[in-house]
Amino acid sequence: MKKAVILPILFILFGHTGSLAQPGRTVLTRGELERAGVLTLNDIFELTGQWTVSSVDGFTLQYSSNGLAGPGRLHWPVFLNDIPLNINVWGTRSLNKIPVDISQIDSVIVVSEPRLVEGYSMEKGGLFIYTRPHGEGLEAGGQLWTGNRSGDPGPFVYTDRATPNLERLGPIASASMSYSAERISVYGGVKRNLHYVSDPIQSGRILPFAFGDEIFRHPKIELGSFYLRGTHKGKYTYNELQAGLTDMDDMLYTELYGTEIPADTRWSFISLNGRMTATPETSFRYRVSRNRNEVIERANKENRLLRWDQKVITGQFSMQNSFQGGKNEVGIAYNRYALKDRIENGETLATELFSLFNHLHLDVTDWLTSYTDLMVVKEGERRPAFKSLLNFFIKPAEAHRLTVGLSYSERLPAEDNSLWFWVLDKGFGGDTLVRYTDSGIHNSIRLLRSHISWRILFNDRISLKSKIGLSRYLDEYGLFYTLVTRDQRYIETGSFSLETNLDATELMIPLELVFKTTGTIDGSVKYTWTRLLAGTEDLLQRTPEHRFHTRLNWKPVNSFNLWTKIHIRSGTEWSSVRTLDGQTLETNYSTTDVTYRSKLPSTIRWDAGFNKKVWNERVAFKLQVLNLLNEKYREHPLGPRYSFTIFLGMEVGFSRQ
Amino acid sequence: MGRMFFIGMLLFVLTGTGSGSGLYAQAHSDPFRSIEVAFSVQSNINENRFHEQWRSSPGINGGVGFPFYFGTVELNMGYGFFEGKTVGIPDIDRLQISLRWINKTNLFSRLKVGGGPSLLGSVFFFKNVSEEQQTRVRNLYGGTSPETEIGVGLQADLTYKLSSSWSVRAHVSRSVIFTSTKMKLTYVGVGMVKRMNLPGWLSEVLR
Repeated sequence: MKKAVILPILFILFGHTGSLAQPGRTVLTRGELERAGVLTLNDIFELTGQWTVSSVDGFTLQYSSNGLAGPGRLHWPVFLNDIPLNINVWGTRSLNKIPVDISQIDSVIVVSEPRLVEGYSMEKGGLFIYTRPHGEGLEAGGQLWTGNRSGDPGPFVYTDRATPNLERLGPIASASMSYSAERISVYGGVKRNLHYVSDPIQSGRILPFAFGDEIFRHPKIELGSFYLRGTHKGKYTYNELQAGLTDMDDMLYTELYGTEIPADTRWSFISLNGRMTATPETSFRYRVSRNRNEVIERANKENRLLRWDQKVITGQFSMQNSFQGGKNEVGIAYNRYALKDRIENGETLATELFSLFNHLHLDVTDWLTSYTDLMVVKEGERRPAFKSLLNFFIKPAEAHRLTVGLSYSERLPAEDNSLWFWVLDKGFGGDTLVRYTDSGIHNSIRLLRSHISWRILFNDRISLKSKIGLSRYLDEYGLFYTLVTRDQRYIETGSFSLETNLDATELMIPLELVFKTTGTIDGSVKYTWTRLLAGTEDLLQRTPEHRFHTRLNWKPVNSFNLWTKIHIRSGTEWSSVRTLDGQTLETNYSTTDVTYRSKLPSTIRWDAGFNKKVWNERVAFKLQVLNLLNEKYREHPLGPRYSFTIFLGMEVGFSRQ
Repeated sequence: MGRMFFIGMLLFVLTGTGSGSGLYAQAHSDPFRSIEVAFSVQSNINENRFHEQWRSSPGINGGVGFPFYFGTVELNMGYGFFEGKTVGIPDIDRLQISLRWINKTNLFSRLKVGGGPSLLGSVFFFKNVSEEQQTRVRNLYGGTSPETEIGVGLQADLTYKLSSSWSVRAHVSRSVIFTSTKMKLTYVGVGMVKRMNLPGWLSEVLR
């Protein structure tokens, strides 16, 4: 009876917005990542079906969207073992900075619907990474990948058909050691990545100016990182200490300059978090962390400014109460962002944000659960920003799961911690940067989001999930710029402006079929349709309208699995590159096409690979063949052209109790 | 056209080398129980753009194969020599390593036919390179190290069993190396195969 009353009410409440929803998070375990052939952290998003990733250099994410992202696209937090990582710098984000690699990960959670987690607002999604737990005793392990991309000159290197060398990929390497006893555990790991910037469309524009007079023919991005984690488990307490450091010789691409600037970047963090159980119903959680993000540009003929030295201190304290039929968490959070302005007079610019949040989970009936999130954020004299999220999980029948969600969130410019907040609000860079725009970011940015999803479990092996999500962005800001070539050698920004108070409405419909057979074969088929319904076209043209992803895995025995996946996406258009359309870049190679195109055609990519474990699964050999059809495609008009690629990997792991 | 040929051939071998026996007929309940050591001589028989500048000589090929969960996996290494046809075109020593999966089926009691795809990596060592060429390449690439390239291949073979451990094998293979100007090479070869059982501990480790 109750069901018959409440279900129609829910539809009346949310049906008028035309919006429908889904649970909003994808959990990917280590086994699933392995079966799907995930090589780096960047590959994770492909598995969710809803995120789009493209990169100018094939290494650092330059643009990502889960359909929620829209203009302020980098506003989605990344957590490592529940600690927020501040890895954004100059409008770019490199997940490679996270000091663990895929082999060290236990699971990841990709949040694709607005949620409040850990005192953070995830109105545009988020990523949680959890490292592997360790068995008692001593454990050690490591992983090494190296790859080769097709398209080299080969034997024609001494003929007039010489073309650039593209083959070098990696190495991507990591090693770790841990010790665990009954109450304590200690883990230490190192990671090293090497990425050659060899595609002529990129290396060609970098070389003429980037390194001053230095002769440098193989530009590369080099990364080294270190990670430490210690835990202590008491009778009523759990405490965890983490620290990490990543040092990179980078080619940092910024939309402001329209090209890469060689830079040394260093990112470090230290954190302490834990929980205490006071009574069976009440527990307390705390978290403090400190991040430092530094960028120092290397010598370049243009003398472009790229300095950045930021310290971020975060803290959170919350109390969780369980009661019959639900639980509630109330907490406070604090974030302090401090940026050193080395350009003018070395002053430290700073801002502080205070938050109060409440998360209520109610099991209303055995078929209805509600989640209500409320949060208020205050910064200085600005009007506080409010966030409210309401989600219902409904089980109308044994084989059906329905999710309905509605959220309204305001975002303070400071929450983005973007370059433009610091330039316009705090005066970072003085006249050097502020000349690019004459408007400020004064208002809170607003997002109205609604969704409904329906999951049908045909049996314990096949399920189908469909969703409709509608996002309405209000008072967003976006960058509008054009690129031009100079001397047919490199590119730069022609015009640049930051515009505020932009509106956009986006509709996204993902469908997902997940299946497994009697135990040896599993897979999924995903399709996502995205359409900008209203608003500034340029903001979302870079998101493919159609995305199709299918994955199949065959695992006849525990020590061997064979996987394949096909990824299809429709074409995209990049308005900022329109001014470069048809222009060619001069290189030393007569047969190489380096013509810029603002429209990227639709692409199909077929990958396959296997993992073979030997010696009682202590050693694993891995092979990945990417782009089997040898389709020549780019994900970004300024980015590298992908072709047939092979990666070979080896993973070892030993333990002693 | 070439891509469709490869996909077609791949489907052909995956579905049972035309015999109708299919993948499942090749399922091994006891993988890595034995090893086959093979050696053959081979000759490049096709002509294309690559051969406008190089003349090929006979090469050698050797490898090891193991019964896998389905079919057989082989790790092979081959050596070939290519002579530059004109002045200024350097001679090439080519070393090729390939990982191959083969599906075999009995035609008669002693005769087997097999086929399957392979992934390959080729290393090219250049000889008779002039100082001027070395300088030009050094300026372009920053060095004159051997070129390493990747590709795919398909092979079909016919194996005649001479005894319980020895066989004679004839093979034909087609490989495409994905250099900027694709190298497409067709080889025919003949050689001997020796089959041995693996020690139990080694078989267990490999499983």
